[in-house]
Amino acid sequence: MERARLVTRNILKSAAAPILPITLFCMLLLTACSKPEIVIYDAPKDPPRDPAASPFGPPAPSMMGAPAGAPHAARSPLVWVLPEGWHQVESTGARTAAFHAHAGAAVADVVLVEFPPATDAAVFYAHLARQVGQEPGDGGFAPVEVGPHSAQIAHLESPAGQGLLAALVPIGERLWLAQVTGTAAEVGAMRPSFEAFLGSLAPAASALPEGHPTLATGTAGQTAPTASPLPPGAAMVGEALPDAAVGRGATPTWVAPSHWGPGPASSMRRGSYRVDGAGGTTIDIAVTTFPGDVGGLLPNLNRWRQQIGLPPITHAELPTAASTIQVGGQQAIWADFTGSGARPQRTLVAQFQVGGESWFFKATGDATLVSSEEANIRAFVESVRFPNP
Amino acid sequence: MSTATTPPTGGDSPPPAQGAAPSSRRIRGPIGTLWHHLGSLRITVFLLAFSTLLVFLGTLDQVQYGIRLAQERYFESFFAIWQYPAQWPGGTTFLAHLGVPLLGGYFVGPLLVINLVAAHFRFFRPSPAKIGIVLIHAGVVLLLVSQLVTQLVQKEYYMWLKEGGSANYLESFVENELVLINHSAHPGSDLARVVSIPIDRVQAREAIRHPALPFTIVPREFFLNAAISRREGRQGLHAPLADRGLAARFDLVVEPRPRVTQHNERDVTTAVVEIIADNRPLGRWLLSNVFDDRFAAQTFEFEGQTWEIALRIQRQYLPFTLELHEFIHERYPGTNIPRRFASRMLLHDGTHQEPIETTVQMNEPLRYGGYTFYQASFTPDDTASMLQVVRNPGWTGPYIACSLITLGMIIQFWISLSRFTRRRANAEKEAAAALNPNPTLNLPRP
Repeated sequence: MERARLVTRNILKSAAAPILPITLFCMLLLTACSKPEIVIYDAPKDPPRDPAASPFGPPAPSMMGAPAGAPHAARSPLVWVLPEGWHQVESTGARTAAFHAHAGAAVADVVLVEFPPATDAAVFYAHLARQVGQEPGDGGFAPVEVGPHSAQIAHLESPAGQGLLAALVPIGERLWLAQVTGTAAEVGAMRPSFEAFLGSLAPAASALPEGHPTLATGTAGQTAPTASPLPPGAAMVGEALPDAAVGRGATPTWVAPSHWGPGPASSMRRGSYRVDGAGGTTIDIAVTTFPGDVGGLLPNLNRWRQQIGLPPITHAELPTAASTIQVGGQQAIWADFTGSGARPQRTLVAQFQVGGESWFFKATGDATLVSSEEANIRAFVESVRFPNP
Repeated sequence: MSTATTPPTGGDSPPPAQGAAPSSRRIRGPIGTLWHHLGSLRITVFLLAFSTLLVFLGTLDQVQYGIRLAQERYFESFFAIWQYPAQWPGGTTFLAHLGVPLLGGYFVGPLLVINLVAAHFRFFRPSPAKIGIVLIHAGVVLLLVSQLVTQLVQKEYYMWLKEGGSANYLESFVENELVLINHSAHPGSDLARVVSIPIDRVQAREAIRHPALPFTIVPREFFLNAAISRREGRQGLHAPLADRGLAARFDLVVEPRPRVTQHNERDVTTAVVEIIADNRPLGRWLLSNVFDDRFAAQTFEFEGQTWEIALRIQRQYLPFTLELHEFIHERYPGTNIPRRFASRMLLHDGTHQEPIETTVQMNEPLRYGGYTFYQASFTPDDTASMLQVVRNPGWTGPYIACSLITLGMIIQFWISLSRFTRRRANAEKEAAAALNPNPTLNLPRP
């Protein structure tokens, strides 16, 4: 009797063992495969729709035709119609928008930057002339009518065959600088489409049909549009952390003069050098990298100025405070500041923007010692090479 | 069917200890044979190694496909195909066309659970000394089951809040819905009657009828992803059939697009639907989840009632409201590197007299009403905050499982330690006895 009871119990136990987990999973999988049904419920009515009340503001002019994640698109106060062969690319720093432009076989880069209305055109021209290696006094902007705008335009060419086409367009209460760069031939071929683009520029508000948010006044639908739960320009928290960004882009190479000694080690530094001079003077040379544009050019310049005791500059003074240089096919911002006082400090810094990262090559130290090392520092910066993408 | 205990027959069975009972029981019959093989420890090792390989390949392919698609392909499927990456050596040769079939997560996971249970019954002998092993096995099985439950029932949403703004609903990261909203259902009330139709019904392009709808909805066109733009003289793009609403007003054209895969992108799901009442067409509307609250609602009148029609990101309404008081974004001095993100909010719940003040920040989520709100993102001007919201009714499972495993390991370790100390004490006694075989001859110490 006892044996029969044990056998029965073992049968039940053994039979149940395989059935239990299998049944459980079948039930779970059936739950997963169930077809969703029509659902009816009462919900509070949405408030009246107000584009300005949206966390993302009014829809961008390029909302239905621009690349996903164009950071400034959603906040651009301008709308435009892209000429044939142009497409918008991600813009960085103070740029409102950036484009790659094709005209036949010619390819050039176009940027759109906003400035205060009182900015002197001569200051712009001086800055642009320096970019192409010309003396600022040789020319200036010429008036031109583009669409509804009375603009000023300048066409510059460098001795090396580089071209630059720039226009100042007053729209509303702001001044807009649009600039095409490339070879002289490419820039020349771009002029008709560039002027057509300038003529299409309009304040975003004027493009709203009958008070309605605009749909697609801007880009011509060249690239895949995607609506994301992250609006254009919204930064994911993780992406903004330095650990997630370091090493994401291309690491450059450079050549440091042999007489430079090793500088202080730091987790933030990719390269660190030190030059010792007479009387205990030193130069600290640091190579650092950060994701993005690290707050933009103006805050960076002012931070460096503050470090050597100089007052901050305004946006209007930007063109005179920094210049653009070409190093190994890459464009860089070059700044040179000398402090004041009995023992002034001097900072030479080059900022590269490559692969979504900013690379800083910065030398700071005693002004006299920096002056004596200036040639070596410039050679150091000019030796920087980024790998081809 | 009868059962009998037999010695282990598989080569993978652990050898029985000397003098111990046989370590395997065999159920007779075909089920017994199947059960016997399912409990093979070789299968356990194979499945564990294969799981590691699957996780490795699935993680690598997240770069190519994005997290969501890679998860679907490798872990939420019964079978997967792994493609030789083009970036690997020889990736541009014939290897690029090499597809290796793999067992997916839905196959490996349940098989591992069945194997674990079968092996347990096959080899395990109940004994108080093995209570720790029972707890560890139970914990591992519960962990696997919890993962499956989480995958099946967990929902993830997000909520955008502008400073000073509030919201009482969440939006899905991936799902869309077709909604017909009757704004006249509750006259004098701020409530509207919402009829939510699964997007699959629209994709199937079958006529949709429901007692709550006095008309029929006929999906005419459907695009999983599309580009919508104004025609503006451009040729060659698809003009939708819509003759009402935004499409008609702005002369919109639609261009089909391949689906996006990256985690920070979303398909512009688009459809054209026609409303028919009493065999009379009321109109055709172009609907898209890109027509969010920045665009005018698309509405129509029918039998004196105002209806709104929309294809929108699926909503989940909450029984409470969150209001963003302030978004805080602190940076390390002199840099643009974020140091702290936080959303200071007021939680309005009808069950409380006063609003509850709460702050959500990194690693400090808000848990309320079965939802967990995490700080996730923000707008560049720091005036709006995005919360990621998770609802997982099975969230306690992994905690219980890990507790069981920990408890089991502690008990098992304690039992082994006790056994070891007992044996050592006995060995010392025996050694002492061996050195001093005749204790009666010992003289007392002075």
